[in-house]
Amino acid sequence: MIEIYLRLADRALTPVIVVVAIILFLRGHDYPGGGFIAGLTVAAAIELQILAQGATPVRERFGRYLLPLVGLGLFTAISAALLGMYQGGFFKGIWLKFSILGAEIKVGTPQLFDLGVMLVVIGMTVTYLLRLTEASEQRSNDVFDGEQQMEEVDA
Amino acid sequence: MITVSFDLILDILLAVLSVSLFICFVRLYIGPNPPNRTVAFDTIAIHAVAIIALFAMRSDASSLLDAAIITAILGFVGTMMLARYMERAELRDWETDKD
Repeated sequence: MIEIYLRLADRALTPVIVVVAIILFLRGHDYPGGGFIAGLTVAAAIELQILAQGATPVRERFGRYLLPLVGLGLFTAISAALLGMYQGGFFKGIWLKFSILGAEIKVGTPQLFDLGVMLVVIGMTVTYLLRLTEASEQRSNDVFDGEQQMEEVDA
Repeated sequence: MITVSFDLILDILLAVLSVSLFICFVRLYIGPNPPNRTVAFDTIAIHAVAIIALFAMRSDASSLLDAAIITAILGFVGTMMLARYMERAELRDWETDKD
């Protein structure tokens, strides 16, 4: 049985953590932040869900997306690196400037590369967090069954 | 009349927090069982948040505040994971009545 405190913390904190991750991702190039730490932050949000709801619902919700996410992220990162070849070198940055509502926004291949890194980090980290949680739950269930059998033998 | 600058106050606070953080690390090292070490870990995470926030104020680096937020979140999640681990563990293994 999961504590109500943890469930409330999950419901309140998970959106906040995801918003912080998006902020970290968006300002990554010139300031602290970027794809790796944003991916780890999203993984922390999903880990909070694993703690609050158990591994099984989270596996049902995210499990089938994890490995394709890693592949998609690798594809995105490598294609961002290869797009630089068009500019004259591997990993050369290509920048596009938009101006929306007076604010100037620069989007380029570094953002694309960060997006790929973020997807890879989310997929890998959530995969091993789920595996570790499932292994520990399996083990504690085994121990619990063993104790019950022992009690039956004693009775 | 002694005039105390704001930076001096921040320095004093940082020094006090450093001593307190050292005491927490001592508890983390000698703590006889995992619950003590978990509380020490949680306190160390809170100290890290406080020190990062004070340092951000001291050096006018507002982007360090994000590091403080991330440290707070990860400290909370880490404490939750340790608490979940201890919830399933055998409590009588930790009773150290050896002396």
